[in-house]
Amino acid sequence: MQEFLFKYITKGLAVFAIGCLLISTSQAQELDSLAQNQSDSVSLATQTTAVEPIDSIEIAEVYPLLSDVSILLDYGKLMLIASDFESKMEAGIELGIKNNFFITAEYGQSQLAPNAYTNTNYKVEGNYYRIGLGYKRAMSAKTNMGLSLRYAAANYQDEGVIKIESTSELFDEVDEPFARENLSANWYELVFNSESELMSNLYLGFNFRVRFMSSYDKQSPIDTYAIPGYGRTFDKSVPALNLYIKYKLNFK
Amino acid sequence: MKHIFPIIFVLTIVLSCSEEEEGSFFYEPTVEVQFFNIDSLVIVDGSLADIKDTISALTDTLKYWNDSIKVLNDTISKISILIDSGQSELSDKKLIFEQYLELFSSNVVTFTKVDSVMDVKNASLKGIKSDIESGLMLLSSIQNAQNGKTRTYQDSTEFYYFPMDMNADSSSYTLEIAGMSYNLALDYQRVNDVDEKSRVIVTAFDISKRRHTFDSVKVNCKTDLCKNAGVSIQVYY
Repeated sequence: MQEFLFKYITKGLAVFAIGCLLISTSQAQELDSLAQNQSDSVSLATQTTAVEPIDSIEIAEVYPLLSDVSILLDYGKLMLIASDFESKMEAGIELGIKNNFFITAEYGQSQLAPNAYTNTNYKVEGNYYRIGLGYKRAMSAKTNMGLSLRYAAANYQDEGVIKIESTSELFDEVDEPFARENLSANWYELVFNSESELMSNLYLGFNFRVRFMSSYDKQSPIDTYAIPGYGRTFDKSVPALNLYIKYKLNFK
Repeated sequence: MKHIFPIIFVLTIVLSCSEEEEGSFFYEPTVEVQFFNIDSLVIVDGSLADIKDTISALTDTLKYWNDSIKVLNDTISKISILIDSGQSELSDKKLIFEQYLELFSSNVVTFTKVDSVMDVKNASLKGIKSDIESGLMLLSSIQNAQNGKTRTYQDSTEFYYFPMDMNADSSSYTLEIAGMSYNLALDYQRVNDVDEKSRVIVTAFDISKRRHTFDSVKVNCKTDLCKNAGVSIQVYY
């Protein structure tokens, strides 16, 4: 377990560090550019005796490093709690960097009873998290779109009871429980998202994500059917759609 | 465009929901078994050899009678010519030859009927031999020797599929064939498997005979693992 946590925390920190590096590089370049502009202006003012009158000045908006903080709730998953076969919850936090970049972290829990291994009453449950970096852009006054890359990991367990009746009735039925604990998986996601502002600071949006499996604890012969946060294990890449509601705090 | 989110939500719900199958799942691994009644086959082969000899003898006899009839006909024709030419003292001999001709003709009819009967018997026995060789037979019943549970059969067939215990690494059977009781026990290993309909099943492999009371039993494996689906057991009794 410690090894597992260490492995994922290390990976998480690595992703975070790369993100910070990218952002700081971008910020440093921007500051250099500003400093250069100021230097050029001073130089120009000292060299020029007659200055042309300026009709208008375009002031570029300057955002702080941490431009906004948002919390997200997957309301699509919450609606499925009423069903018999799934119980999921997922929430996340998003840190806006210079308005156009963001760091995101999500956490979720799910209990799944997929229509799989139909004679086993199969269930799988566990939790997962995702962290990633992305780029977003305002498409209109109230609509944003974004693209991000995320790393995800899950801890889960599954169980079931194999039930088989004897066709000939010569022998006893099979009634064999099985359970696998402390299973883990990790994968990567490419996420496209779109959101619209419903009212002040409140957004409604969706994430369309394609998940690419990296590794998971494969079981044989009854393999884990679905992994919380990922989906069916027999697909190496799984598309998914999440619906979310988001509250955003701007620091500007 | 403004209804996009409700539509996506409804689609998500619809795609996520699916009908759950309910009810018990009936299944068990089976192994193909063929029975060959060697004792009966020996008897049938003996009868076929006897009938073959009889038919051969009948064929020779009929040939003899037919040749004799031909000779008698020729003789009677010649005697008739001689009688017509004035040798009337040959009339008595002609009468004797005609009586022989009538007797031989009668024998030919009788032996031809016997030959037909032998042909029918020969064909019937060949059919029986073919059935025995194909394994067609009636297994009256199969019983789990451990718990006494019995399954009966009404129709003859060439292949029987014996169920195997999914909770043990061996199955013991008591079999009834034509009023006779036999025993057969199989050893194997088990593994859980998933079929094409995503159901967990039990597969038996490494199948071998442990004991039996038949003349001989052969376990033929079509695969290296000797899985139950690729095994044919031939039983000779």
